[in-house]
Amino acid sequence: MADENGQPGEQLGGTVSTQDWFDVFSDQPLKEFDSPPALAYVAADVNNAGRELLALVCDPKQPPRHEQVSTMHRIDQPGLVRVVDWKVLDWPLEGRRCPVLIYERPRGKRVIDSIDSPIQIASEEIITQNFIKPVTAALRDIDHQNLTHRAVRPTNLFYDSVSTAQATIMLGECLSAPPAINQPAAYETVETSMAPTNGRGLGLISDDLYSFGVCILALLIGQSPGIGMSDDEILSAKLERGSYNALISGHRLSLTMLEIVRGLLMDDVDERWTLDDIDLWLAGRRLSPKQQEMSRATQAFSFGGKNILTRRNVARVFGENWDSAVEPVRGGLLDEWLRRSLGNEEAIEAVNTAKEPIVGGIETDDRMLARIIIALDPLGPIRFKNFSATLDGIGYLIAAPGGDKDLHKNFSEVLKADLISFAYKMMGKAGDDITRFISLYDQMIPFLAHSELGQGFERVIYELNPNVPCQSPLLESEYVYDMIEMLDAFERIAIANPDTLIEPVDSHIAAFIVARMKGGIMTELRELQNRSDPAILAIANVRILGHVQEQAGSAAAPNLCKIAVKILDPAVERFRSRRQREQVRKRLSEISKDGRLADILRLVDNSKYLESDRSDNDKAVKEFANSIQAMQRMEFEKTHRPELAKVIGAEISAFFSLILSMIVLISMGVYWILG
Amino acid sequence: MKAWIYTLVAAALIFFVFLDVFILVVIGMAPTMGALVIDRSSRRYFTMTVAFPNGVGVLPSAIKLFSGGSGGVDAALELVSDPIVLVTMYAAGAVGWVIYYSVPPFVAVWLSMQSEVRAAAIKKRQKALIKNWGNEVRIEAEKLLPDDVNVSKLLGETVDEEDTDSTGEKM
Repeated sequence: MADENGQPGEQLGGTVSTQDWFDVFSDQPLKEFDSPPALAYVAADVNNAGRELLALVCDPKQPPRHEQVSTMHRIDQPGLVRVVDWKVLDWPLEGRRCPVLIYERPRGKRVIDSIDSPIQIASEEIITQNFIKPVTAALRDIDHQNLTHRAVRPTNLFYDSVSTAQATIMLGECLSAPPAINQPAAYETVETSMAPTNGRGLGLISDDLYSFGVCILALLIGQSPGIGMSDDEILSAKLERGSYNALISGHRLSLTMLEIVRGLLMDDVDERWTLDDIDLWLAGRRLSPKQQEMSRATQAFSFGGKNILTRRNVARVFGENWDSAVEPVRGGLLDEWLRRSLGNEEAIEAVNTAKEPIVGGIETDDRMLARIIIALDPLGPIRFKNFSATLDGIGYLIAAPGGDKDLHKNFSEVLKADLISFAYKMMGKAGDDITRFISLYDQMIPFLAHSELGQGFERVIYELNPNVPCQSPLLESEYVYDMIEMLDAFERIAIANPDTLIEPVDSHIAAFIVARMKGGIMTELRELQNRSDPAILAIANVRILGHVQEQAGSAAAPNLCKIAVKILDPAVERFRSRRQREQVRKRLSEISKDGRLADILRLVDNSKYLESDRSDNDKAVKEFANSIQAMQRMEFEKTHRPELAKVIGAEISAFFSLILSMIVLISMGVYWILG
Repeated sequence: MKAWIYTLVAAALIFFVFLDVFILVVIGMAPTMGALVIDRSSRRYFTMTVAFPNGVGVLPSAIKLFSGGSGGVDAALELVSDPIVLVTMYAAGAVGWVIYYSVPPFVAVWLSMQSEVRAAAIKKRQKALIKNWGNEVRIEAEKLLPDDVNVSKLLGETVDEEDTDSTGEKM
């Protein structure tokens, strides 16, 4: 077991314990605090035994909003369950690493366990003092931190004491899963409830206020509004009659409470109450929100077996019946209905604009239909065939598990057809907030146009989702959300399953690194395409791992280095000298123990060493050629040895004769001189 | 050609100025003259081999000829008619002949031994090169050699061995 930093942790019985962090008890589930898909367990602060905590073990496939944990932790309000910390832990029950959020445990129970359950009715005064007031304060703090909650619903409200009568009702957790993923349609605005649950996005505080308004209504009427209706029916009702009328459905509220509920359930976001409006209301000012006017047709538009009265609902039904929606557009039925029954000039003009093909683009019925849907409902989600998401929910949608190829293709079409810019154009003044999305999604177009490593759809997933973990099959049992975790994951795999690391950089890992890393690795990624030279491939793989280690603060990874040495074998083979290869291997084996990939690369991919090796090789080749020539000369000498012996012998004889003569001459001279 | 002219000039000078010495040298250096006639090599090693001891053999007689005053031609003829003097001069010339004919067989043996030692050293070095650089070093080296060099033959390889060499590092 290892903790986030790859340090070994302990697992004693049902306790998952990590150094300097909280103990989580896997054998003590807290089912009453489960927040699907996250499951709750007892947690303990090792430094403060009396502190009541719970751990939410999140589904790694539905990544938590971990990047917001530290900011959300700063909010200390009685109207919000406080998050303490988060960490990735080895979770024995799943047999993998899972993100775990630590929350302060609410003292009371959940307001309702199921959305269909009846809610204990309280007086308006109690609701105002114990729910509206504290939750408004909590939402204000959340807004101040530029965050949103996006999980405001009765099943995520908790009493702060065992006795529910006078207890404060607090918002539950909101970080354990993508935003608004568990929100019933009744608690979501018309715009976000039309998007699939994993494509709703973080939204704005106004979305939370809408949900808050529905919760107030639920507490007042003692049940969740729209109970007994399907999400589709609720949505239709909201679109046809407006949210307030659809959800109040015959219940009677006091004038005081009617004001806040109506104000918060305004479908027009500009008319919807703000936190300041609620504060004024709490202070006793009566604001009397306007009755919402719905632009309804005099005659219904019949399509897909439904009779539709509003343009937004037509857009929704078109999106749900994509293949048959072109017919009424092409056949003129839509134009006729807009002109004769709806009589909305602005809608007619918008649809006519939508019908005009994009300049310079390829025009298809699908693209035109997507524009018409936007023209009919500019504030709704962007829809293209099976693709549907709010502008800030696109990233969550494409990163969600089970995204098929069609979804990817349709997202590409959304970008190619320039639907986001078209939506901006259609929104008019309301579109001022979405200009940032236009440039953001424009940046994705080049990534989708290339399928090389570090590009493609994988890159888009990580660029649009800063909190999504790497989805590489190699890291299936890990939860890699940054470079430190990636290095630790590789180190763990190097110990447990080293064979899988021979070619560690796949399309997801490449895209994740290039999206998360500060420095570029495009050169290495280009080299990874070079399948013809195993040495370049090996060096590129290890170099990328080296960058990961550098980004992770150069933490030692001796086991990964050991695998890197193995991966780099083709690069070592570049040394022509066997002796040099052995020396390099020996040295690699020594320095791998230090766990620094950069050191390994410095030795293997060293141009000075390689150049010296090449030069030595050239010398060896010349020496070998010279030795062959020497052998050739010796062979010649062997066959001509008598002649050679005679020639050399003659020289030696002359010399020997000279020496001998000199000796005799000198001896004679000495003899005569002496006498 | 110039050497011959100098020799003839020297001979003519000795003939006209030192006729007695000329007679002694001509008769005493007969073995050298014989070697000079036989020797076909450009550097005349055979002639030199015989001339050095032959000259040493003639030298005492020449000194004797001078030391007794100028004895003239008669003294020279008396000297060369002395059998001891003749044997001394010719035996000295014979030493040169013996040296010349006995050294080459020893040289041949020495060359053969030297060749074997060198061949062993070259093969050892080639093995070391192939061990370090692989058979590629031989393949690359062959490219540097003229086409007519039969490397396999020089390395004493059979055809089978050559096949092995192309895949392994055996030499």
